[in-house]
Amino acid sequence: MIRRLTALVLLTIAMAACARPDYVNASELSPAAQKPGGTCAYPLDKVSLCLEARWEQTPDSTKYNSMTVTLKGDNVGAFDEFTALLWMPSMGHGSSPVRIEKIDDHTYRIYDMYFVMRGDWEVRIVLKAAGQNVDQVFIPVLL
Amino acid sequence: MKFISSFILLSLLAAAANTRAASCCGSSQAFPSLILGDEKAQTLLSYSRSTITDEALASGKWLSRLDENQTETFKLEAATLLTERWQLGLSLPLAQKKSIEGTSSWNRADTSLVLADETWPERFYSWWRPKGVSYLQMMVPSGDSLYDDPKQTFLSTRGRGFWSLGAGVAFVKRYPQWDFFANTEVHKSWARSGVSSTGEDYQAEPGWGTSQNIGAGWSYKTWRLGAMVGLVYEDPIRISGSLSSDGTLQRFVTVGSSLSYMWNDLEGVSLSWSDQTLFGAPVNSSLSESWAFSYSHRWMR
Repeated sequence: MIRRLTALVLLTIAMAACARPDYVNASELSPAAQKPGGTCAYPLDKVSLCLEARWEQTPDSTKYNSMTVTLKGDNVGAFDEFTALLWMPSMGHGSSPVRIEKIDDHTYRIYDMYFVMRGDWEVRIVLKAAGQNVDQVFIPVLL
Repeated sequence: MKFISSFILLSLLAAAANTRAASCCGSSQAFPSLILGDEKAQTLLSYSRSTITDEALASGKWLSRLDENQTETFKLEAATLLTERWQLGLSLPLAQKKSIEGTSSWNRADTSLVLADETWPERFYSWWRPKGVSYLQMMVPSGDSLYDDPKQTFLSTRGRGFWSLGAGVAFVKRYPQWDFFANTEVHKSWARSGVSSTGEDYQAEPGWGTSQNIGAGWSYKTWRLGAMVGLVYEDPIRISGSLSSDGTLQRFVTVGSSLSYMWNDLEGVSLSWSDQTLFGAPVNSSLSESWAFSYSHRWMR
């Protein structure tokens, strides 16, 4: 009996001993703030604008998050609607609607950003004119 | 031998309670509710508690889950013979979710229907030949999913959101003290429409999937100790329309063990444990640890 029990336990352990988790380093997670560099991080070429995004806090799946988006360039009249949604491309689903506050023609605050789970997400920002997409940019988020 | 067939039933169904959690908010194909012994009907009531401990990303890297999540599920499973060969099975789960954000109400998760045929009966003794059942299984997306309403959260989603139809075979081989089982199935999930959080329509196309399980058990008097391992694979969910993304395949392995006790030929209980972080190279999956307690009652032919 003991031999058989031992064999069963060893079989379970043998089957279970193979996973080698490779955890994401903290440095790979999306930072609290993205410093604007020399080149445009998120170009919107069709409307000749450059988008800069700055998280107001380190993105966290257990909280509502917010970010400030700045559009650099003169052509802010090329669109009349600024939209944003959260999307998880690997799993093919989104999350709750975000809210958007227009600070001025160049600055928008996206808030109530709720990520339904941890993982690799995108903040999909789409600029529209008369209901049609004129340009878009996807900001990757790993949280 | 009667005990052993009941033990296998308990073990399979209790393991099934644990092996489903996979994606963020719903489950993939469930283990079918099948009669594999000499019963004419059986029911099983199970309670399981599952915690997503890690997320395996599309890159294969892992993240620890930090939201203290927990999913509790009550599931009623029943199967009955229609004829000597054909049987019908049903699985009705109710789920409640918890996290640091709060607790959801109990509500329906995805329902499973099974039509099975005892294709390889055990009419004569053979030391090697197993008993085999082939089946069709339909998953009904009765639980709320992220595709039904973009305002869903982790707490409110209990379903995967897709209709799917699968075909599989399950084999059981029993010896006086040892038993072995294997199950393999392939399923197709159907495309559906969804609405993004900005109010635009899109199409979600999930594709094919498969699951494989093998297990063994050792019985002593009215007790049985079992172990199983199962692999689940799902094609990427491709999104088209107002949104687009190619998706990433989903893959994970569940290992589990169970301890079952039957106090007579007709009734028994089982305690089972499973974990999806211990084996294999999971991709694009929420990985859970689960405990389940189940009670079964059956009616003999």
